[in-house]
Formats: sequence, C-alpha cells, structure tokens
Amino acid sequence: MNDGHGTEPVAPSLRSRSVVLALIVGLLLGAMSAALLGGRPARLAPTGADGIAQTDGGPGVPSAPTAAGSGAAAPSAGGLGSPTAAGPAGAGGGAATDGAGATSSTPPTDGAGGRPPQGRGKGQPSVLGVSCSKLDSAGVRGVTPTTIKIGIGLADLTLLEPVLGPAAQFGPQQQIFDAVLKALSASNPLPCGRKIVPVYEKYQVLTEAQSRAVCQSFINDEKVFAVITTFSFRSPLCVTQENKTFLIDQGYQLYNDDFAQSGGRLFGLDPPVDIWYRLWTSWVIERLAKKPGAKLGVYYNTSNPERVAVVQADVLDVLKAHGITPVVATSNAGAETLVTGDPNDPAAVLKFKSAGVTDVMMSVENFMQQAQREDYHPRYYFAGSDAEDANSGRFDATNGDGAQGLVWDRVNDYSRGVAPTADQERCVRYATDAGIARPRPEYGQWNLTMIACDELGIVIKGIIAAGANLTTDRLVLGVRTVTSWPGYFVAAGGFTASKNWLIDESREAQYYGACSCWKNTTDFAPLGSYQ
Amino acid sequence: MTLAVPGVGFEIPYDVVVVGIAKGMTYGLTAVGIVLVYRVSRVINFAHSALGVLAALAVPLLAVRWGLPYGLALLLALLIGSGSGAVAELAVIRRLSTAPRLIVMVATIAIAQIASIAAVLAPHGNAFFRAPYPTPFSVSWKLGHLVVDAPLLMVLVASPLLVASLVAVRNRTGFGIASQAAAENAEAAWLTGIPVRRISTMAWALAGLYSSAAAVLLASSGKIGGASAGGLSVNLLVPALAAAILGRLSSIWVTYSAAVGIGVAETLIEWNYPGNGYVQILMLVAVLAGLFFRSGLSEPLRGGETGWSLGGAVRALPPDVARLPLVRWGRRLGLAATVLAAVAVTTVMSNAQLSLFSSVVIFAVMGLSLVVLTGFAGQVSLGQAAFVALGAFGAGKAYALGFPMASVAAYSIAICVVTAILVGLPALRVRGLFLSVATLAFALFAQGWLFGQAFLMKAYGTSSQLLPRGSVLGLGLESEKHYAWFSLAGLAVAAALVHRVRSTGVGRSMIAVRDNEPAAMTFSLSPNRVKLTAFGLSGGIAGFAGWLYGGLLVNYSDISLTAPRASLELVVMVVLGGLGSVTGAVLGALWVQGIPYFFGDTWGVFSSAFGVLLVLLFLRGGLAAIVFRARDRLVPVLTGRPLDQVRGSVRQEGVARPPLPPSPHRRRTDAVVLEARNISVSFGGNVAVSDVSLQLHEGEVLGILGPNGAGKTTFFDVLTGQVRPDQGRVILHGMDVTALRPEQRAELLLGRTFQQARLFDELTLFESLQVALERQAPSELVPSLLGLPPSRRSERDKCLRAGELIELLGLEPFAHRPMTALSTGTRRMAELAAVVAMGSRVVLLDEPTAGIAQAEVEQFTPVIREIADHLGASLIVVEHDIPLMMSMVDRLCVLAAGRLIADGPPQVVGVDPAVIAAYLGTDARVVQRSGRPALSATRSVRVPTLTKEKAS
Repeated sequence: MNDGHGTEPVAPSLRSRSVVLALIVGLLLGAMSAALLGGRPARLAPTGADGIAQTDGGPGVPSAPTAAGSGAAAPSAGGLGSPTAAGPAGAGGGAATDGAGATSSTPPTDGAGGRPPQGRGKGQPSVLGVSCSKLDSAGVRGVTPTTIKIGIGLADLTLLEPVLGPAAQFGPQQQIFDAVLKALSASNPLPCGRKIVPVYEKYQVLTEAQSRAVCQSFINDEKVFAVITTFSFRSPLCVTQENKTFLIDQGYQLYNDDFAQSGGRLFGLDPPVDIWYRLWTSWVIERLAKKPGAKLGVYYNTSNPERVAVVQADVLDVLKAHGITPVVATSNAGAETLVTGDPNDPAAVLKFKSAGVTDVMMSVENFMQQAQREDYHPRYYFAGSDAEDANSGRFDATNGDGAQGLVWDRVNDYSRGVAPTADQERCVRYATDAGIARPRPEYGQWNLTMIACDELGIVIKGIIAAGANLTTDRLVLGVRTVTSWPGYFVAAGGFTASKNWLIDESREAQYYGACSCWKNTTDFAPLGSYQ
Repeated sequence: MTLAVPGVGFEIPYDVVVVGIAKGMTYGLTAVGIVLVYRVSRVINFAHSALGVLAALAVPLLAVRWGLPYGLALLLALLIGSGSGAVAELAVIRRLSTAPRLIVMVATIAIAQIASIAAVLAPHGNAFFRAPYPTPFSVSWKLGHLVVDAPLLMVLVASPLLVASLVAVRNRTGFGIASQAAAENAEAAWLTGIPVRRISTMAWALAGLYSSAAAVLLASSGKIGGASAGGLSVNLLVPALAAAILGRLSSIWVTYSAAVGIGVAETLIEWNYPGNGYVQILMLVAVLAGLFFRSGLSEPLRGGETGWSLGGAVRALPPDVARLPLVRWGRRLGLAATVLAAVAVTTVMSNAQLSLFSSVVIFAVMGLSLVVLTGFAGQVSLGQAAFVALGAFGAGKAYALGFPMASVAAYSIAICVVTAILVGLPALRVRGLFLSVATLAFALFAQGWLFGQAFLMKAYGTSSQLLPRGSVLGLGLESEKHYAWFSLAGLAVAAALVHRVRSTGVGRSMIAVRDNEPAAMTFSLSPNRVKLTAFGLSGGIAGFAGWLYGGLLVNYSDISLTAPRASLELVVMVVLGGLGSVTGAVLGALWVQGIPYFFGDTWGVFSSAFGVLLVLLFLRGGLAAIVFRARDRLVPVLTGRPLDQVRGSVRQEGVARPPLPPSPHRRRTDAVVLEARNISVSFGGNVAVSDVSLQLHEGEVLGILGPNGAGKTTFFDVLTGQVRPDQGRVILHGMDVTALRPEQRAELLLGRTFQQARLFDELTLFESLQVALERQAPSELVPSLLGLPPSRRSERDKCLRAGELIELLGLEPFAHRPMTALSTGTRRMAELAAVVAMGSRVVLLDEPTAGIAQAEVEQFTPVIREIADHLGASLIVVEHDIPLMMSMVDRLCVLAAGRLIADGPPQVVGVDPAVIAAYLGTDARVVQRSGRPALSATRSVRVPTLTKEKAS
C-alpha cells in the first residue's frame, strides 16, 4: 500500500510499540523510562486515502443483485445507487429525519435544517467542490468537513496458517483494503467530497484482550468514526455498546445477543450463529418432511459452552417444537481436535448406526471417516462455513459424498462450478490494478478481497445515504437503506430495522467425494424460517 | 446385546463397551508412558504425547510420499520417536536432574509446546493433517453394530501387546531391573554400578517409542491432528493421568486397566447422557478418588519430597544489610521509581497500549496467585486460569444480580476462595505432582460443566456478561488510562499482600510446610490449615484478577482463560519470570504477554516455549534472578562490603558464649511426663515396633539404643504422632494423645529433632526460629495481610526472641543464611535452637550427632544437657554413639528388631549380655569402646560445628 508518498505503510505502529518496550526497560531498571520516550507515540499511520477523490473513471459500484447468484450478473455502468433498492441517495430523497439519534428505517435527512442528504442519483457526479458546512457532523468523532476516519481491523491468523492452509493465507490485507477503498471511493463520491481515511490494526482472533486493545485504538486513539473488522473480532460490544460506534464485521462468531446489545450499531454479513443454526435446523426439517421414515441424529462438540447453548436452543428445541426427537451424540474433545475429529467419534457412529439414524446434522466432521470404516452411510447436513471447502478437508471421499449443505457465502464458488460474478471480477480488479497479484479463488486472499468489497461498499453506501451531516445514527440508518446488496463474499441481501445482518438468500450445495469439494445444487433462494 | 441398569435406563451395549475399551487403550498407552518416565525421573511428563508426534507424521511421509514399505516406514518412525525421547532427556531432563520437580515438569510442558510447533511446521505437515493415514492391512469384521477394521484391530491388539512387552522389558531384562533399581533409589543404584544416567536416557527413549506407537495408532484412526495437538491436549492427558494415579504411578497393569476402565465409563456416559458435562465430572471424581483412596501414593511422594523447594531462588537481603540507610532508601527509591515509571509510561501510552498494559498488569496479578500457591506453599495448580475465569464470570453474575459495584469484587473473590479450598482438599492427602493432576482435572471440569451452569455463571453462553467499570474515589474508570492505574493499584495491592505473606509467619509457615512437612508439624504448624490457607489466598487473588480482567473487557461472553491449556501457560509464565517472588510474576507477565505484542504471535509462542527452556536450563530462578543478582552485586558496591561479610564482627569460627541459664523449673522427679504403652507398628508384613512400653520421667534424659532397623525412629514417629500405632497408647503429661496429630502434640510442648536435620531449605536460620515461635504466637491470616497492630506486635516479638536465641547459642554468623547453606552440625544446632524457641518440655532427639565429626560430637553432650536444663525439659535421645549415650543419659533403653530388650541405668544396660549380643555383637573393639568413660562437659561452650563452616 502506498501512503501517497511511495513509502511502505507503518503497520501497527512500530514507534508506538517502542513506548511499551520502554515500559519494560523502565520497569526492569526502575528508572524513569518516560524520559526516554521523547513525547507521545506516533499514531498508526493512516494510509491510502490520498487522492482517492481525484480518481475518476474507476470501476463502478456493484451491479444489481442477480437472481440466484449464477454469475450472470452484468456489470453496472458505474455510478451510485444501483445496489440500493430504496434509493436512499437519490436527490432530495429521504423523508425521515435523523433527530437526536432516533433510528428509523427510512432514509435520513439532515435533522437540524431539514437539508436532504447530498447523495446523488444514478450516474450523477459527486459533489466535488462542494464543501461540507462546519456545522455538518460538528462534534462527531472522526468526521471533518473533508474526511471520515474509518478503523479497519484485520484478523491475524499467522499462527494458524500451517494448519488451515491456503484458506488462512490472506495476502497483503492492508493493501487490499486500500485498493478496494480507493476504487470504490473513486466511483462513489461521498457527500461534499469527504474522503475516507482508513487506519489499520491487526488483532489475534484467539485473544480477547487484543481485540479490546484494537477497539481502544480505533475509538479513543485514532478517534475513528466507524469500524470495519474482517472476522472473529472479539470485542464487538466495546465498539458498539460502550463507545456507541458503528461496526461491521463479516459476522462469523457473532451471536444474536451481540446484535441485541449493540444498540443497533453492529452489522454483519453472515447471520449470527443462533440464526445460522436455526436456518440449518429449519432446512433439515424441510428436507426430512420429504423423506418419510427418516431418523435424525445430531452430533456436536461440547468444548464450547456458548455453542452448546446455541445447539440446545436453536437446534434441539426447534426440532422438538416440530415433533422431532433426534438421537444425540456429543464429543467432549477440545478445540485442538475440532478440525480432525476425536476419540468420541466411534461411539457416536455406533449410537447412530444402532438407532437407525438415516440423517445426521453435525459439526464434528471426522465422524465421516469413522462412519465409512463402520460401513455406515447416513445423509449429512451442514450449514454455513461448515459446508465450505476449507472446513471439509477431512471429509471422507466416499462417506461424505452426497452430503448436503446450506450456504450463504460465495466461498469456494470456483469449486462449485460457478465462475466469479462480474462484480467479483471487478472487485479483484480493484486489487490487481493496485499492483496486487490476482489471488487464487481457493486462497484466503480471494475471500478477504471480497469481504473488503462487501464491507467497504456497504459502509460507503451508508455514508452516502447519511448525507452531509454524518453521525453514527445516520450511518446506521444509511446502512439500513442498503436493502438490496449483491454480495461479493456473501449472498445477496439487505438490512432492515430489525435485521442488521445482510444475507437474504441461501442456496444448497452438495459435497462430491471425487473432487473433495462442494458444488451448488440450487440457485440462491430466499432464506427459510429462522424465527 | 444391550444390558440396562434397571430404573435409570442406563444402557450398556456390548459393542459400545468395545469402543470404550479401544478408547481406554489409547489412554492407557499414554498413561503407561507417563508412569515409565515417572519411575525414572520422578516427573509427570506433559510432553509424553508430543514425543510421538513427529513419528506419527513420519509414517505417511515415508510410506506414502516416499513409497517405502509400511513396515520400514513404521520402524523408522518409531526410531524417530525414540530419538525424540532420548534427545529430550539428554538436552533438557538430564541437565535438570537436580532441579526441583516443578521445574522439570514445566520443562516438559515447554518440550510439548516445541514438539507441537515442530509438528505444525514439519515438511508437508499441512497435507498430513488432511490426508488419510496409511494402515498396514485392512479387515472388516462385524461385531453387533460395530465393524472392527484395521485401525480398531490395531488398537485392540497392538496396545496390550505393547504394554505386555513393556512389562516384560521391565521385569526380565537387565535394563528393566536396573531401571527399577534406579527408580527406587538412584543413589544406591549408582553405588552398585548401575549407570543411572544411561538408564534414564534409555527410559526416555523407550517412552518416546511408546508415545510414537500410540500416536501412530491414534493417527491410523484418522486423528493425526488430535495426536499432534496431543502434546498438550488436556482431554487426552487428564484421563491418562487419572489412570496413572489409580495405578499409583507404579503398576503398569493397574494403570493400563484403569485407563481402559475410564475409557469404557466415559463412552457409556457419553452414550447415555450426551452433552451434560458428566464426563468432565467423572474425570474430576476419578482423579480425586484416586488421590484420596490410593494410600500407596505416599510412597512415590517420599522420593520427591525434597523436590518442591526452589532452593533459595530468591534470597532476601540480611536484615542488618536491609536496615542500612543506603539500602533502605535505595530500595524505597527503586520501588518508587518503578511505580513512577509505570505511571509515567501510562501517561504517554495510547489507549490501545493502555489496554494491553492493563492486560499485562492483570496477568501479573494472576501470576501472584501462583506465587503464593506454588512458590510459597509448593502446591502446584494447573487449573489457575479457571479460577481467574471463574472470578470474571462471577463478577458478571453478581452485577447481573444487582449487587452493588463494591460487592461485586467481594463476590468474585469469595466464590474463588471457596472453590479453591474445595479443589485444594486433595492437597491434604497429596502434594506436588499429584495435586497438579487434580487441579488440571478441575480446569477441564470447569470448562466442560461449571462454566455452563446458570446458577453460578449466568449470562455465560449466548448472553454476554457486562461488567461496567464504575468509578473509584470519583475517578471514572471508563478511561483506559484510569483503568490502567486502577489495575496497577490492584497489582500493588496484590503484590503488597503477597509481600506481607512472605514476610510474616503466614508465608514462613507455608514455606516450612512445603520444605519439610514433618518438621513443620513438630513446630505446631498444621499442614492442613497452612495448605488450605494457601489455596484460599491464591484463589482469592485469582478471583481478584478475574474481576479486574472482567472490568478490562467490560463485555465478554467467552474468554481464552476458560481453556485448560491457559492454566498450563500461566504456570509457564510464572516459572519463566521466577516463581518465588512478586518480581518474577511481573517479569513473566511482561515476557509472555509482551513479546507476542511486540513481535507477533509466532515469536510469542517460540519465546514462551524456548524461552522457558532456556531460563530453566541456565537461569533457574527465572528472569527475576537477573534482578536479584544485579541487586546482590549492587548492594556491596553501594555499601562497600561484600554481602556475606557485611557483618564485620562475625568470626567464621564458633562464637564463645556464656552458658544458657538453667530453668527455675528444672527438677528431677518420678512424675511420668511421657509414656508409651504397648506400642506396636507394622508396615505391611514388616513389624517395626512390637509391644514397646516405656516411661519418661520429669527431668530425665533417656537414651534409646538400637541397631539400624531396630524401630527407633518409628517409635519416635509414634510418640510425636507422625505414625499411628497399630496398637498401644501414648500418654503425654497424663493425657492420652494417641489420636492427636503431631502439631497438636507440639502444642502440648512435645518437641523433636530429626535425623536429617534439614529443617526448611529455603528459610534462613533466623526465619526457622521464627517458625518455631509460631506455637506461642500463631500468625493469623487477615491481621498479617493487613499489617494490623497485633500482627506487627507478634512479628516484632518473634524477631526479638529469635535474635536472642541466636545470640544465646552463638549462631549469629549464620542467622540469615538459608538452611541449605549450613553445615550439618550447624543445622543440628539450629534444630536445638528451634526446640528452645518452642519451649518444649519433652524433647525427642533423633540421632543428634549424626553426620558430625567425632571430635565435635564430644562437645555436643554438654550442649544437649545445657539445653535440657535451660528448658527444664525431659529428653529422649536416640543415638548410635555409645560413649556419648553413656555419658549423657540417666537411663538407657535398647531396641532390637522392634522390641524393647533392656531398660535401666546405662552402666547396667551396657553390660547386659542380651544387649551386647543383640546390639554390640561380639566385636571386642566395639565392646571395649562401649566401656570408655564419658567425657566431662566443659562449662565454657564453643558451638562445636562452627569450625566446619565455610565463609561462603
């Protein structure tokens, strides 16, 4: 990534780290190490925003969502508004006001003066040259008449790379986000010509204290206006509840409760885990209804009490409500064996086999190898990330063949026989145009690029919809006007007043042992029941 | 076929039992390997599973990628595993052969971490994580619903064969017999020509081989990932450790059978009650039951009895040095500078850095909880992070229940104190390594069951916890800077408490019990009380840390501390920093938490794994040792005097002193002060004491003679309560004390010295005497922690009295040296001084001159008599030195083969033919020597052993 001067980024500030290094020295020596520091530490280097507004003619915003995500979507002509069915940014559009933090599902206008947001109609040029008033967003953290500071948190999976393989290799994350931001900003001018100034931090997904520190960095050090995180960010409520700040995350490992406590400021691409499990269960119930005589088994891991509660409430209780009493088997193996199964598999297989279970919902995949060895061939049902190639590496080719999946991410579309959509290709071009090598679709870098396009695109749309007088509440309302987003990493979807996660569609996939991969069996269709 | 337990619907399908057996057999292989290593190294090898990881990875590499025949690939893989074991022993374990067992145990954790890293980074490792594992053949037999295939058959057949072969190797080969001899008594084995070191290396190599075989069997079942992570996989370790304990860490077959039983029980429970956490409850119960009901565990404990002292890792400055104005002010200024530096740094830190700073500080508080429990009390907790998590969740629960903010912390601390005491109950039966297994099982139990319970943890699960920070003294804690200060204040409070603990009788008692429990009991200390105090205090600090951590996070639904391995990492952190001091906890937290931040996760893992090994190998006292060494170099520079010679008046020889004043109560009467009635004790089939009765009269000095194995020490143990007699009574001052514990008898003024004269390795002579004074003024926890006037007064009195005693006995030059630095003679004098400190009226001296040069022995007689006169005490002396006995005692008893064969005046007993035959034998020289006249005592006494003392 360039900082506008051709220099490499100073990712998470080395200079600032020297402060803490000095602390250690200070504590060790018992000296006044503060004297060694020489002033306040440098802030994280903002990167990449220079010149964004001046870039014309860049690729356009995503095209309108296409049915079933078949990849046949035509690229849009560029310009604004096409993805947002509600057209929040249309000139003069927006009937609702943004009064005092009130949240409304209608597009916002300026609460103070009734001035409509300065969003522009399709194809309309941006308001270059029109400056925001000093009154606009006065006192709003991270927003000036010319800039909007956004914190972007990047998950660090370095330690897990050797185990997870290509799926955990995200490439130059910061450069990718810079490139996508640069391209999207160029084709989607913000109200009164503001520019987004990103600041970056990495966080380790296994340590809550790191996520907390990243939250503090963004909110209280960098004074950002809003936060974007890639995935598995463990302090969403630090951002949204404690600091009343907007956050969008890919959504993996967010729970309903996180959304409920966030004051509406938390957004996700994927559904929360609770909904994920309910969608999965509802889908299985539908499938079983068409399969007389089927007997269901549920196999899950108990090492994470949080997931156990979800399984109970959103799988077992839902099944029970539908008159289905599954055969249940559990594994108590620790997280170390989640990827590859554990010694409890044989008993689970035996239990299902002897109970005549024909269909299995499970989240412990090594079961299949054991089942194959036991000559037991039930039908498997997976959902969400469990039905992705990255997580099915240990599927037994024979036993897993024919497993059914309910998916809403576009991960591994390449192996599902789906060519990248035009939008996805455009998204990749944002990166390649910036000199970043084209990622292979099976690599984490591909997915990260798509997440960047989704998250940045949605935030930009929200900012445009919010208008000149940008506030967090207005951004929330603005993002909720994104009711029809095509989805790069995820399925198409949109937000509503009661639904801050994106996807509205899912599709079915099937696992093929011959290629050890999932392939789509249906087009995208509206989500099933998750109430 | 399915059996069912009537009434409860508990099913026992036989094919499920077979699956459980196979599962148990995999546990069994691990357990047997743990036992194998324990027998030769006296350490629980947490790296056992990890040793086989590389071998398990090698099989597919060699057989699939390189195309070697399976058999050859397996052979080479086993060699790799065996080599891993040998390398671990040669590179690490051997170098730590004299180190405390705790240190070695932590080293094995580090080895496991390194092996796991190596497995992940191994060539093509990622491919092997995902590829099917090769097996040498394929079969498919039906057994009910179960299909027995090659991997299952391999486990069912190979596992018991491997164990049988191990038993055969142990029992029928020279190596096996030699290794058993070395395990029983390494020193004796070495003296008989057994190459103990080589045996140890071979045992580790063998353990590596078995670990490899187990890993290959596990991997064959498609679980290479589990095997590779198994190095620290608590789920695999806990069942194996439970089995090893049930097998008393000695019997291979009992261990293996227990493992199979656990596997079956676990499988059936999962079968019948899926997802209820009952398996974790089973594990905890199995471990606790094993610890409580396997009395044989005391045997291996004896071998490692000395292994928990850290050997003066942190040496306090001598008080007279510490009192020097320069040192005193230097210390204060240093402390102030450190605090100011920490506070100053927070003023220039970003909020993100402040947040991490608080995290490091809170981890230091967590470390302090281990300093108290493990560093001071020698109780190893491998479940400490679970207490911290419990504190955090408890705080959230309390807040959710509407507790006032001020009482939220109290709630956190209270539930952790109570839980820690409950978890610590096994410590009343076992210590050290065995206790660590109980605490590890608790960590697993907490994760699998406790943290899911709404009654205790509510809001855990899908509802995240909320713990607002509030404000203190008008200072809003929402600010990261303010919370960093608050955390620092929390650390300061915790550090001050720990410091108070160490510098008062509470801490000295913990160290005394840790270093020498029998001696501590004779000083009236109750090990149960001391240990539970340590557990409670440690739990309280952990709960406090949990509350702080919850406040740091504010919102949390799951925290990494719930994982059992977090507890292992916490132990590594503290050992790396230095287990015995506040400084160590802080430095460990800075290292383990700081390095990942500065240099990334990968370096963080490497630094903690390799770092701890380097520290253990080359810097036994941890990072804190650097600080203390620097201090020890700086102080002489500042004071102009070397530390050991600061007291310029100290002479390196004995100090002439006036005799001790005799007690006004000193008198000789016929009143019986101590009586043994028909005492009999046997150990198994060996009769140690048989129907012995004797009386000790007021003011009398009674000698007990007897050849080795006559039962003298056992008889002493019965008198002091260390051993319960099979029959007979002990009457002290007219009271039947047979049922009383040693510390209760000490309260009745019964004192004792021991053959080994070890006292307390890490305490100084001065501190040891302060411990002895605990009988008169027991230290109470809360007043000591808070430094309340009664505690301060008591401490001051003990200091004065200990100083007086040291001066009276001419021991000033050695007052502030740790006991391990003193010669045997000085330690014996220290024991006598402790007896004086206790004010004992009945004193049992067990071979008071053992290990002292003959010339100095002769000077001991008057000292002993002098002390007896000073105390007005009655004495029983066990001694081999016949002239000394003849000259010192009023009456002489002789024990032989556990029986009392003579009792009378020494002149009479000395010529008793039965005594001569039974004890003196027929050697004319011995008989002649026994008739030498006793040496007369001199009234100007020079402490006899001081001429042996080295300046250092």
